[in-house]
Amino acid sequence: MTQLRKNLSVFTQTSFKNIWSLLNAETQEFTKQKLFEVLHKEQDHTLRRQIADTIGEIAGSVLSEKADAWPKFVEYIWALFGTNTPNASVSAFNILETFLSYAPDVFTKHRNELYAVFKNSLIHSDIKIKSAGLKALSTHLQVLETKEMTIYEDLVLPIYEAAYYLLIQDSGNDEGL
Amino acid sequence: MSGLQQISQLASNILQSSNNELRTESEKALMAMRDSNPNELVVLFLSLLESKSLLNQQLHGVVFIDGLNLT
Repeated sequence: MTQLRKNLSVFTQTSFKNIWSLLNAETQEFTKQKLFEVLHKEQDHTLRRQIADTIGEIAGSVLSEKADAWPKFVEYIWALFGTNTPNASVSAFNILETFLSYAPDVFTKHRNELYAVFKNSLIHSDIKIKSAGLKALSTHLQVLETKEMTIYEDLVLPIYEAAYYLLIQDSGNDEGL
Repeated sequence: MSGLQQISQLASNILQSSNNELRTESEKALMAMRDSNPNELVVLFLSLLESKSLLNQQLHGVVFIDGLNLT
């Protein structure tokens, strides 16, 4: 996609401008809410992934600067997991994969819930949930301090099992996971 | 032409035209709208994202998420 844009655009990436800070508070709130609404309704998995990445980027950006900038963000994430539909769970993990590299502290108060969703993903029968959960957990573990990782120690074996399972499946899948 | 249709047309021109000049002018127009009224542009793009019948998926990816550079 990036290459396509470069090929089609006579402007370089330097012409792109961060406009989030230029938006008024009303538009920012509208955007936050609308992106989650669209994510719920979107049927195309590629577009869902892009929307999830956008939500993760925006949330990571605003919450790393100001902890109360998006009070409902965590609530929205749990709501996605709460729907118990594979697409919503995958999207929630996609958001976390991006977000947790920016502002993992936001989930400090929710570490037990986070542990539970990661554990469930690793042993889940749906390969997309397993893959999305493993990727998000990997991102999370990369930014946690050593003492904060202890809660995940008992997931070492499920992590290896999930990774092995995904590698085996992926070897027979030309499109990858 | 409504704002939504106008942006849809501009975005379509950018992606679909084989004419370099047309693409350049469309990009300039879109960037000018971004600079002059970012709030309206973002709201319109979110509407585009919902009414995906107006644009194809590539267009959403390139123009909405990357081109507008929300983050």
